Amino acid sequence: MIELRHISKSYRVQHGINVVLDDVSVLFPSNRNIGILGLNGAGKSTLLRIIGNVEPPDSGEIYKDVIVSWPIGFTGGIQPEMTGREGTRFISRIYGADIYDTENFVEEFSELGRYFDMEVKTYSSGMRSRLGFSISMALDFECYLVDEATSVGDRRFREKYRSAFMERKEKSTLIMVSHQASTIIDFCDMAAVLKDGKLVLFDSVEEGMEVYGENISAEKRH
Amino acid sequence: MEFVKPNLSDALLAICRVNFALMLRETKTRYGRLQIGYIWAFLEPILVISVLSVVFKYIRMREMPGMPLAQFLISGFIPFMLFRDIVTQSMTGVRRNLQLLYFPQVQIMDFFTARTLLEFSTTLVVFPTLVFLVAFTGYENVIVHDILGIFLGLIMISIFGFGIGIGLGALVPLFPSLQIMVQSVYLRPLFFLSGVFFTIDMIPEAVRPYASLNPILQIIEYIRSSYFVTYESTYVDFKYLFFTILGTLLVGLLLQRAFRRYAYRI
Repeated sequence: MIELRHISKSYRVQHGINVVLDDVSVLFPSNRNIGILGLNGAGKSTLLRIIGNVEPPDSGEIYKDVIVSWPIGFTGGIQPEMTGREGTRFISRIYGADIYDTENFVEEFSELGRYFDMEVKTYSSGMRSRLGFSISMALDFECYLVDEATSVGDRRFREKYRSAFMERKEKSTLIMVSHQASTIIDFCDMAAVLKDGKLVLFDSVEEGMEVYGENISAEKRH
Repeated sequence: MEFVKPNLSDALLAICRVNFALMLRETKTRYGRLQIGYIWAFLEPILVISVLSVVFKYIRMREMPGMPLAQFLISGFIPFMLFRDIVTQSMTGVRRNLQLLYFPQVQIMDFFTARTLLEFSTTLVVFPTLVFLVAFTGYENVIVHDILGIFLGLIMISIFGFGIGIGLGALVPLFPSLQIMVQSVYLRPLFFLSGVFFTIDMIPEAVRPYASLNPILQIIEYIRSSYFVTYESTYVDFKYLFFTILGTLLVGLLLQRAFRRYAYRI
């Protein structure tokens, strides 16, 4: 279970202040996979980073009783000058995992081949997310924060991590951010919609989708 | 409802893991993309000290009071290099490692502590290596008087460098040009003002009280007094050193506290 209490976050932009989260209080239950929907720039990624302790909120508190991953996305976390192997070792060191087990798992699972020993800056975005995703799979989190990562990579790999997620559905859950409705439908059984700094939780994906659809058409009218 | 409260030993373990991982990481990138990498940590002082030795021996024709020349230079340049590297690396450390903040257990402060620990432990290898080199080549007689004193001096200079480093590291994201300014208006003159190649007795008496306000000069004086049984500096004021180092550390921490969020522009 992850609980957010009165979380606020805003950024200073050129003209004024952009409020991303405005006094958000919400409880994510432990046994559900939650998809967070929102238009581009609504602050979905920021929300995920705050849940993952990457970035501190301006105010409010977060309570967790599960081990949460870092937000797994296109780019996050691995320095461009590191090779895939070095990145894997670094992350497994900071999480206190067995380095060789992790390394072996990632090398096989990511299917990066010789790229595993090349600098991450030479990777395509799909390869990058494959690496990040494979490392996170090796580390056995109770809750995975996924930031659009599932929408990149080729179809075959997408199938692979889809089944990897389904396999561990018993012990770990998912909080996923996407503006692609289809990804959310595939993975999640609960939805939350982020709009104008407010986060509304829906018990089913369908309900969330409906509201999100209204948001989109409202946006188009402007 | 029960929440997991972070406990102290877990937190300390996490900090140790992160620092260890960062140190290994930084060892590899210590000198950017240069192929010679870590070897440069040994090569630089060897080269600098060789050049300075030649200059002193044949051009300036000077003898140091009670100190063999090469060891005199080693005991001055190595501590200075330690300080300089901690400060310069601290200024770029955040930018270099920004992506790693993506992992919740990695904190900005870890970049500074890991780097300082790395520079310190590097010095613990480089310093004796150079002294052994001098001894084995028979270049000079080597008698090290008080190893513990040297060690303490290196710790002092590291903490002082760390204090300056975190302070500047907090300001550099706000004022990027600060980095170049520090290199040219602070570190370069400091090399000539910190007693790397003179002792305080060798400069005019009138300027000594001002020169000794520089804590690095005092620490180098202290290291030399510990190294050489034949040299004892009268300008080492422990109370002064203690309070300047502590004060610097405090100001550095306050600057970190105040400007930390500017680093989070990932």
